[in-house]
Amino acid sequence: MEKITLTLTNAQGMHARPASLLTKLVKDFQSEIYFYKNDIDNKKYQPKSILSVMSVGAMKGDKLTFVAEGSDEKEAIKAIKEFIEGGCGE
Amino acid sequence: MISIQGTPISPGIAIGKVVVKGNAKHDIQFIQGKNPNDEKRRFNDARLKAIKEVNKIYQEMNETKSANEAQIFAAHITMLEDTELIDGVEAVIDEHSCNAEWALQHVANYFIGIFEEMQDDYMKERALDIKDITRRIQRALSGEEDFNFLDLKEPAIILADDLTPSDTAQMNPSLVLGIINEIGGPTSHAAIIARMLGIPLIVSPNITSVISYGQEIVFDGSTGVIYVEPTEECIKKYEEKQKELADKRAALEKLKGTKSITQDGFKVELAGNIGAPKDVKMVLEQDGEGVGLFRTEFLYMEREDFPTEEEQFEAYKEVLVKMEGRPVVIRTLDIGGDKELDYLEIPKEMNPFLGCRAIRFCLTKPELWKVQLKALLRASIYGELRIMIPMIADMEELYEAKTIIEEAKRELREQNIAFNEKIPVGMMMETPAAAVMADLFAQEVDFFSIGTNDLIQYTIAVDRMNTEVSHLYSPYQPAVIRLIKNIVDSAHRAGIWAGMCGEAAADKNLLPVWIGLGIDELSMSARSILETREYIQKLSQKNCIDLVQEVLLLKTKQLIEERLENETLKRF
Repeated sequence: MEKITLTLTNAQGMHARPASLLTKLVKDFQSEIYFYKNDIDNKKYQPKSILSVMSVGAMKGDKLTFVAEGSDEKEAIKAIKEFIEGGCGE
Repeated sequence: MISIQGTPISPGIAIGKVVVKGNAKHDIQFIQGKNPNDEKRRFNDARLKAIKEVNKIYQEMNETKSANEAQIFAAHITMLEDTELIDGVEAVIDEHSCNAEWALQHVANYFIGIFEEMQDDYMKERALDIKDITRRIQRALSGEEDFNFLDLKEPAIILADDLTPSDTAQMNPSLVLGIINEIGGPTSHAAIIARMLGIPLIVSPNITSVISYGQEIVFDGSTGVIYVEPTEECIKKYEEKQKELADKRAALEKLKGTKSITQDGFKVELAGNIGAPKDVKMVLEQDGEGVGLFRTEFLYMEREDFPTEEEQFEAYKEVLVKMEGRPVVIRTLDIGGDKELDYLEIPKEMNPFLGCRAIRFCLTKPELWKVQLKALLRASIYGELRIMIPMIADMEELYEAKTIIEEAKRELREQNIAFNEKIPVGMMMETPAAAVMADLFAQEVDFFSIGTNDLIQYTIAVDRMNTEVSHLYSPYQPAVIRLIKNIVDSAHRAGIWAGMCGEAAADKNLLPVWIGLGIDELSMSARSILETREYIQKLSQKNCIDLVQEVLLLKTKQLIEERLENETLKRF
């Protein structure tokens, strides 16, 4: 299992565009991936679902913890890290 | 035959069969005892059909509009392929053995609820996207076809709740005889487009529940009257009216290529107002002599982030190249007041029209404004570009704005990028402060353009949308006419030109006043250009000067309006 906590830096937060980019990014990984916001780990969200990602209502400064489990978990977490730290493609 | 009275928005006669742009309002029933596998298959078939529809729109938007405008449809496709949506609907079907329609609505409402409760306005609006894709799947489930303007093969009258920019973008104007909307007003998107294209438009609430697909109707866009299943007599009467209008139009066509000049030789430049590069076509078709107002805020709307310098440069260049050396006045970003951007949080203001709008907003974000200025400067080598600054009320604002323009120029020079060093910079005259100080402002700029809509509102201190006071809002207000006189006189004394780009520029009763004051340019909706030229050719400036002297002594807006109406009747 791979796990990483990242802070959202793009001004607009997890809006439609970054949400759809994240969804596309994780779609092809085999691993089971979920994430939660600001350490509230009983409310899990699915990065493969744009509705789920957008319903997080994540704004700039929010902490997102991603958990991946599966054959390509390392690659998945690495890709997500680059995406979030790169400002969600904005 | 029944008749309905609607609100007239765009003039003209429409006679023809009705096509309803369905916004099917389904009452979703809960039906149990269905075969879950059948329902899941129905849901997924409908969903795939919806994806196909959206994909088609996406492709077309990508070809005809900017990639950014198409982006929203890409997001719709992602939502239609969403695992949470699909798994959720299938789980509900399995659990209740219910119909796909109810399961879909149940899951959609759950997400709509989440988004609607969010604090962020942008996210709240995403509830609309979910409603949109849900409606699309529901329609596919019901077997109804999606109405797409591109599928319109025969001329028809369009009935719709409202038309979105994507509707009008796809519309072939030659097939649209007329439009009746359920909501909207004279300044709605559909209204502006309809007037520009010369398509009759009426607004009439609940019209789609009265008139149905394929019914024959007649309506008059200048009076607002609608006849359903008209008698032969009625059709004949309106066909004649339509012919009269067409004849008048044809007579105006003959004025193309002639000059906008009074009988005693006073020449006015008649220009068109535009909101996007594609509007130039209309201005040229109507023989416009320039563009007197390019409202650039439309470049900033219907997208998710500010347009880049490159995008703006391309848009300005396109307008200049198409105008082939005719003057083009481009107004810098006029946002705030009633105009908002989805991606820009402007704090709620108590009095937005007195708040951080137009140049005031741009001066708080000089780096952002500079992106636009650089795009304008770079485009300036492709034609007669003039930069216009909106909403100046204070000389210091103008100084600050000019400093930023100089900075933009300096940065371009440093990068060896070519631009017109002598680019004229003017200001929009729309605050009483600027009008009163016109003599001093005239020393600082290269031209004035009078924005009558705001000048009236600020001078009379009246909100035109407030029906309690809107009767005060009038271009015939003596105070407004006196301010306009001061603006034009001050400009001429300083040796610069003065134009006008508000609605009053095309008011035929006021035209003799503008001519009498010696206005240099009038900019209006392209459809009004030839008609205005016709009037100008019948006037003599000498008589207009006498009329102005008389009007300046009248004490009320009513007296002025009556005097000018009489003059119009006498002359035409």
